[in-house]
Amino acid sequence: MKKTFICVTVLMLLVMLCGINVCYAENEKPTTQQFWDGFIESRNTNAECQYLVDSFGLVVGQGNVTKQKVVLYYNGDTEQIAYNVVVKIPSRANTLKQVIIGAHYDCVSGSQGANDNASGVTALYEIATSLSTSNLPFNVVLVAFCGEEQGLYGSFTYVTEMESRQYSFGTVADTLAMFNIDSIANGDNLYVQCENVNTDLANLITSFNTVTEKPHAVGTFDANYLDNWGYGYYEFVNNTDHTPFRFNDIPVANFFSGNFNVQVWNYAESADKSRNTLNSDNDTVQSLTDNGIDYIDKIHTVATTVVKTLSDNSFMSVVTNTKEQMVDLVFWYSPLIPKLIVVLALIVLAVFAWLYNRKIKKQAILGTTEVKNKKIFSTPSAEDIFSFKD
Amino acid sequence: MLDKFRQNYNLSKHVVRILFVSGYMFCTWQKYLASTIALLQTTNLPIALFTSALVAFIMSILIPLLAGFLLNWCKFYNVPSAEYGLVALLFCAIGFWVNGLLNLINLFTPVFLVWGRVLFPFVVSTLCALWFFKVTADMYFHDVNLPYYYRYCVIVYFVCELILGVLA
Repeated sequence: MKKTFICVTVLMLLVMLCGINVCYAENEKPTTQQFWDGFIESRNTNAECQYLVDSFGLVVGQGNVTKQKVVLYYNGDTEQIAYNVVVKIPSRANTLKQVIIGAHYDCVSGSQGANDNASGVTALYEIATSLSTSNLPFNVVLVAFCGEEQGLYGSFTYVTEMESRQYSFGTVADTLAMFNIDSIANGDNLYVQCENVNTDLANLITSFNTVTEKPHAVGTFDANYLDNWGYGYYEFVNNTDHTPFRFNDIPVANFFSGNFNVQVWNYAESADKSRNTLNSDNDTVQSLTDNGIDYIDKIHTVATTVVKTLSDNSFMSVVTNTKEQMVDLVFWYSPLIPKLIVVLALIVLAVFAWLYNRKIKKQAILGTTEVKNKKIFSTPSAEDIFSFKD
Repeated sequence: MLDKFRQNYNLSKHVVRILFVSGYMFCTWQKYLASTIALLQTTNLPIALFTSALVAFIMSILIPLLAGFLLNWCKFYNVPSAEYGLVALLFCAIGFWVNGLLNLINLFTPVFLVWGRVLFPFVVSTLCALWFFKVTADMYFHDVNLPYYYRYCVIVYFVCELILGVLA
């Protein structure tokens, strides 16, 4: 009787496990390709969030995976609830220091979101798999953000709630760096964007010769009416989840793909216009396959680069230096200070103008009324107008 | 060669207009390129250049008219207004070219983007305004009416700087 009961229980457990969307053998982590396939499949039933919870749970243990509630506002009034998926990988060292690695899992409505951003989430999964057995001197938090397409809601909410440490090991002050991965599959080249000046973090990441640093100036516009987030300038590649972290003076590295040699002074996905599928219904797995893109290889390249960067012995000193090298957004990108300088200069000029006015008034008393009558244009002579032939 | 320009007002007018339009396009191409992003979601250099050329052409007509109007309003009837307007346009053209050269810094580092947008026009316009005043004062005014001309130049300069440089 007892043996029968145990057999029935085991059988029931097996049946339950097979009922999960992705039928893996118990405790077997999906490969990168399997994860990708399962994630794309989960989009069909709007079950991405639960799929991520389950998959990351297989890697780091279900106890290290939580969901963070995020309120999205459509068109400023309609409310919708979504969830960030937060994965914690604690360090064996007793520290609050942490690195955040993020990728958004939502996509544009009507799109399959293969490149934007199933590619980023899959890279996140591969990083989690690599780091789950690592021994880093700091904690790692991987976050799959929601609400990015609606306006970076997931990442803004995450940064805002970091002080409570409910979804992170430490606060903003304890965060060494933030790595963001967005749309790495479809573009011509892999880039990393750190700061608009040279930084040690960018140098470290590019030292592995897998990604190129985004050209600092290309695609940067002084255009206040385009400045969605308050940077003080506009740059297309700032429209993603590293932005809230950058505003809190956390060194960031944003991985993406594209091409800066196609459009004049701007970003494009590819020199081949038919491959530009960002934010469109053509952002599908079929499109990637038809264009012969080895997206798994690109995902693997970015994931490996991130892991190598974090594992580098110099990483801690690099991020410390990078924090000093970051551009002061308030000082350099706010027009207030230069306008104050202009006002001060005008005041000084006004004083000199008043003094000069006194001088020429004195000259006017003693001066002459001789009309100078210098004109630039003179009347041409007859010889200049007509030519006479003998 | 300068004599050819001094004897041919129409030729001078066209050359100065070309300098003005090209200088304005050189100075503001990035701003108009950013505008195409706002309208078309992508950069479009031909549209940006065409728009800036159109605006510059309209300004090249309005500035001499405005200069003549100001002369009449200030009752400086002895100054040839067409010539004066052309000189004003020429100095504006020089200012745009110098400002455009300074804006090239943004091609190398975007850090100076916002400071440059405020400071470069101020510095260039101040220098051009001083030079313009000196040239026109020497050519058209004598010691007795110079203070009146100076007063109106200072008013126009400070109003323009406050509106276009500080409040804009």
